[in-house]
Amino acid sequence: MSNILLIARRQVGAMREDRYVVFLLGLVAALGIVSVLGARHHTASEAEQRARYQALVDRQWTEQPDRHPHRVIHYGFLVFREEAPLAFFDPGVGAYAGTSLFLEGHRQNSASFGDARHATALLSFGRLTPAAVLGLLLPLLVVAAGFASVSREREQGTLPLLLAQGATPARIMAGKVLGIGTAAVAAALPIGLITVAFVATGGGEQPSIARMAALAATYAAYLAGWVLLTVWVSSRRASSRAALAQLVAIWVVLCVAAPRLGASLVNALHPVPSRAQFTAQVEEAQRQVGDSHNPDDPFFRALRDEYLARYQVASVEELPVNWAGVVSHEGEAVTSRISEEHQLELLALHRRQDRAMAWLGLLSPHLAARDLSMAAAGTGPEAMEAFRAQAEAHRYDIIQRLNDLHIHEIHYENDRAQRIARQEWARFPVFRPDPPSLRRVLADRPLSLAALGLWIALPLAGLGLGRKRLPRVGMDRPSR
Amino acid sequence: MTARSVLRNEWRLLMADRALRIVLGLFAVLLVYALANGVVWMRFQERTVEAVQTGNVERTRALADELAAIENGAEPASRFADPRAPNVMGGARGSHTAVLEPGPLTALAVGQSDLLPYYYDVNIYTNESSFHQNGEVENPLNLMVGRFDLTFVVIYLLPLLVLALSFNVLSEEREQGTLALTLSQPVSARRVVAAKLAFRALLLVGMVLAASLLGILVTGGFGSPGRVLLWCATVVTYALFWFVLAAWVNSLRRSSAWNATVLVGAWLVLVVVLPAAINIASGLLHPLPSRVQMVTAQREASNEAVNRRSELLARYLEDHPEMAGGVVAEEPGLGALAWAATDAVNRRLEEVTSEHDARRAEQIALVRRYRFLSPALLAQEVLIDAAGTGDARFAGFQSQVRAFAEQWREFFVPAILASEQMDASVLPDVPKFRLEDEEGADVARRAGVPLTVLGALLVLAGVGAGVGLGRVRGAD
Repeated sequence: MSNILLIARRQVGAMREDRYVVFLLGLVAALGIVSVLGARHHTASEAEQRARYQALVDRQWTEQPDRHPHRVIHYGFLVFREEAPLAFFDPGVGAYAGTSLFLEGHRQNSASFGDARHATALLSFGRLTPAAVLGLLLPLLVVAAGFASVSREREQGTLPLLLAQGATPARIMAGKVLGIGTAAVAAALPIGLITVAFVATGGGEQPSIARMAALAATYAAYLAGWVLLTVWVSSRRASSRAALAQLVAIWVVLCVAAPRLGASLVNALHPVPSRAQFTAQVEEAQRQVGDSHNPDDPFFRALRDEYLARYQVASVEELPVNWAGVVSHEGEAVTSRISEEHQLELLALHRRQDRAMAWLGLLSPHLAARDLSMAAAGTGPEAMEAFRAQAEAHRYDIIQRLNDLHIHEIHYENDRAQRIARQEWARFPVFRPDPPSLRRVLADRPLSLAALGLWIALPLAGLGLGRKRLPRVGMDRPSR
Repeated sequence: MTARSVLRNEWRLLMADRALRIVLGLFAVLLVYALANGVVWMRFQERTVEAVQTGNVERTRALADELAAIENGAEPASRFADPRAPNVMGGARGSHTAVLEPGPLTALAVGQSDLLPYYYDVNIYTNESSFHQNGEVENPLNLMVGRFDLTFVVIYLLPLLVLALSFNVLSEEREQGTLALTLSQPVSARRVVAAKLAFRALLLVGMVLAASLLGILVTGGFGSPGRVLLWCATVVTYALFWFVLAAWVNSLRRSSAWNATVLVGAWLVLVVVLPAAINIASGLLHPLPSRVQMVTAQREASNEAVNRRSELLARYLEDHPEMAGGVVAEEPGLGALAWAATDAVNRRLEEVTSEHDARRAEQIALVRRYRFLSPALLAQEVLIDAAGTGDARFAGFQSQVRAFAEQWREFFVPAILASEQMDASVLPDVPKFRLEDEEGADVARRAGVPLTVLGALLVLAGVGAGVGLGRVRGAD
């Protein structure tokens, strides 16, 4: 054990002498801290605005005067998507999904006002979020700190010395892993601490400890894999230069190229229609069913005959219920069902893409870590989908309650002149979004979890299998 | 030793390196894949544009058919969608979709074209909020990542390959002890490095340009030779910048490992860190007003407007005598009242969005100021602008759509105010959107400054390399 620590200390000493590593460590830590500060500032002001306007909209709803229910249907109301408390750490797909929904009768408005639409072309270079610093930049620091860890010992001829002093190859590796791990921790710790400090002192909704732990575990595993890989490659390569070239190449492929390659692959695999195509499909399907605003429409004529037969009357005026309200109610049911069906079809397509991406995560741990990080932060696609689905369910509920008021409380005769008393508006349910639980989103990601496991297991196995070869390679190489 | 023998020698050496052959092969595959991706995206956009334009024709035909039927005595299919009503013919039912054709070189640079809308449905209800609706129904995860196109390969991967091929052009000779031998010939270190790098540049830039020209050929981009030229010039300048940077670092006479780490560090800072940091800074220094505010303002305004319709109508007629057509309605129709309310909401929205746009302009100005720090930012800006997928072309499109919407209103609103009905005879006169696409000269003018700065950075690094290499002696 003691020589593991000795070797770790030796590695730390080598890294501290390397000005480049120290510079990179400082850079990564500083960027991490700046990214936390920046993101935190942004989300805090957004959250504050959102809460203020949501309160305003809710008040406007309850303070409506006496109104005809159908007028209220068109008045509609707004719900704003609340960012998850950890969105500042990993904003996930939040900027690319809408932030607000205008809920009114007759239609499902797709969530609008995504932030990304308002950004400049610079956005394609990525945002410097804490998650990006940990997922993209820190691995490169690990590589820089450790590419020479074993190979330099070999080049300088010190490897046989270490072995002669009684350190087994396994212990040398363990010591190197520990030493490089120290550098990774030194860079990651300030980011983690400042995040925790913000969460602890910040107002608003607090993220659960479990979510923070899941985030920490994700990045710990991801970075541990990088440390192990770095030592493994360094032990396998004859020269430090070759080890560096190989590790940088691996980083470029896994972290820089893989995300875009993956996205384009899943897009090719499961192509998504254009918005024009999508809306045309929905409108076509709705047209085929009927037009609730057209009293002569066949669908609604059949409905009328059914009602007349049921209540055994001759005309809609004699019905004990308000026929206009019935038409509105049925029309809403039909159009909502159709657009929800299409929406779900589209989302199923997105989910198929995401699943394909999860498989690719087995090839690139960066994708897997990103997936788990979004899940833990509560900013993954399913969080956006949950918001949309719950808002739609809420919309449908409210609109049909209004239609029920129209049916039962408003008389068919002189329909438009009647009003529902204002007290009624306060009795409507308030929208309470219920984001998917951590347990559920993690259970949905067996592939990503497996990918991270594999990411650690593979280099570990490589180190275990390769340790016998270590001394021979070391002695084969003449030192320069 | 002549430059030619250096070149021949280099070719043999490079091809003898198995790892390098693999990397070059991989790069070629990535180039082709990126190109295929871009072509697929461009075809998708072209199909969408075509479908949307067919939709325009179909909507007009449906209107014409029903109007003809009504003239022959038929009843309108629905009294809520009577095509004779100007707010129906000019409303959602008769709306005209304004389209931006994909940029000539979209296949090479997807740019902003997957985020910014390239078609808008225009009708009398088009207002500022129409420009803020979410564009496509794409998977947000894929939007977040961005596309794997040729621009990505050029901006991110090409520099790394350049560095991998040239980080040790000189240091390796020294480390292998061949430098003294080489320099004992009548040739300077400058010539040796220049010849070696020229060979590598020819190889890599040749591959990228070949892929680019192939893509342009496949998608018919040669119709805009200016853009093609600008694209090629930018690719060459950007690639050369990295080669020359490598030469400069080599001239510092350090070890190959030192060169490699410094060059990768330079790439990291210039391509990854600086752009992301400027991104953060622009968001922090000039935060956009909340979109939430915009949505709420619209609703507040529309709620208020409904209650004050008559008052609003009077004011509207006062402000827009041209719309009233000389007829001031003593007893305004419902259509006129509704229009006055709609217009009031639009005015309020414009107030809110103008604040938003002002902040965004500040952000852009900040980005424009600091883009000079990173050759990657400069190159990306010119590349996507040359391709016709940059911010400027989309902004131009949007402002033309805005003007078109105004034209559309001028056509229909007078009839709404006068409670007139329309018939099939007006259909040919209904405004049609004609895009006035930017000229090659506009693009060249915008590219002038960034491309010059990129060139200046190249020259700067070149001077550094030249001076440094002048000091290299064989005895080092």
